[in-house]
Amino acid sequence: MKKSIIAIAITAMLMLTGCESGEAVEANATVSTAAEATASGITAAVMAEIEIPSAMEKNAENIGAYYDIDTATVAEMSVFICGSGAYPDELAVFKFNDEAGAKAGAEAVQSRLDSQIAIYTDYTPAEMYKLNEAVLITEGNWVVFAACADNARAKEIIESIL
Amino acid sequence: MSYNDKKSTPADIAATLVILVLAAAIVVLLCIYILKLGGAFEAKPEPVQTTHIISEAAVTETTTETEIIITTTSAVTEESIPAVTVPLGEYDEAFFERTFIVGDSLSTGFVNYEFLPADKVFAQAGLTPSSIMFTEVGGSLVYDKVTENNPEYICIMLGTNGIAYLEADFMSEKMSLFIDELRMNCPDSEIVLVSIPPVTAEHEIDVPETNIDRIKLYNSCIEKLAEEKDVIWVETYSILCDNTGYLADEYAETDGLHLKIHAYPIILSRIQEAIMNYELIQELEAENTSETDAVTESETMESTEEAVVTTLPEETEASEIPVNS
Repeated sequence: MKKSIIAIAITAMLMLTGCESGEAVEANATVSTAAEATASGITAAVMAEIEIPSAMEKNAENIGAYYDIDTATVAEMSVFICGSGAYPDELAVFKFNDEAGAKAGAEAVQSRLDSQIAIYTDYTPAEMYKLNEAVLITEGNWVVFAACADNARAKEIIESIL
Repeated sequence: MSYNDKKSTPADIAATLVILVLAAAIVVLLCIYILKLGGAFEAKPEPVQTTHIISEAAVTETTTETEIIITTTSAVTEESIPAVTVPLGEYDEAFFERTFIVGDSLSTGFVNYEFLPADKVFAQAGLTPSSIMFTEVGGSLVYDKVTENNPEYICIMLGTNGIAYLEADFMSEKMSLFIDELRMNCPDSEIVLVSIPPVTAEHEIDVPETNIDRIKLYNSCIEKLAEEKDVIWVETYSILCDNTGYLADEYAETDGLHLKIHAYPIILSRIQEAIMNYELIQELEAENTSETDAVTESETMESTEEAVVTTLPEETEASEIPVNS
């Protein structure tokens, strides 16, 4: 009897755990919209369709190596770059505390884009379309940047969320 | 005839005694043999001699249990066999606080993959041994960054970008100049030259100019340069290639030239190993020099004492000469 109770309890726990992780995956995949938008939700939605090769996520501690952004002005962020340095692929979503922060942030992102263009023009001309047609959207407190293999589709996804 | 009836002759007695003595001798011999055999089982095995030879003899260290012989010459040579072994991929993060990496897009991976902090690396896509000397990264020249860091070791991994269109000799000459410039700007830092990695067979088909023969030629040129310039040499090519001699798939980015995350700990462990062996050699040389100095000093003291004794009367005479003469 005791054994049966334990077995039932374990099965129930496993089922509950399974449900939880299933819900988490679903939440990431569908992504919230408009007011519910999150930085990580936006990057997850884009990356569900478009690959960032050797993607490495950056955080507030190491973002300074890529973007000249004052992290104190950032409410949330989700940034992925190509770790190997082979490709200019990048996806960066910042939500600033206010519009002034977003304006300064957009300038920093533009500066990063200019720098990447200067580096990759001679380095890998075949990859330049990713930078020449890069997406840079500023919407309220949001600044979103995408340089990837399908910028048009990335733009559609981002605009559908913001 | 009963047993009692039989009378023993002296010959019988003598024969019996001989048999008894022989039997006793056999028993004793058997005992000795058994005892020896037992002793053999109990005996400790011969100590295994482990020998690490760095180069030709100058200093010898010997321990009792496992004999370790470390012999050195004044420079790290290509025949060097490392006395310190860092298992592949098992580098020590803290160790690299003493280093500074200089390189191209391959070296950006150290930061991008978060193996090293950004302030310990000066790297950008497209750099060559020539362009590194005048290209600004993040608004600074390499010399400014290196001077600011003042690291114990400056590790250079450069050359991949020039393989397709620059001659190995030319790049090696530029590397030589770059080493001189670094030494001028950072005289306290030791230079570490790291070989460039191979490419995949697919990459060689796509970009025939960047082939492994040219990479090997360049690596051999800078290895020679390392010897000439007395800098530390780190060979990483062989550990990154597969059995066909091309960059192994597990380390290769899809372009066949850049490196995936797994390659970096391998490279770092090799760099750490080379530096540790260099430091070991320096330590042994210093010990050897201090021993030699001590011997020389005591010999000099003795000879000086003798000299003082022999020259004292002359000096006394000289000191008696008036100063204003």
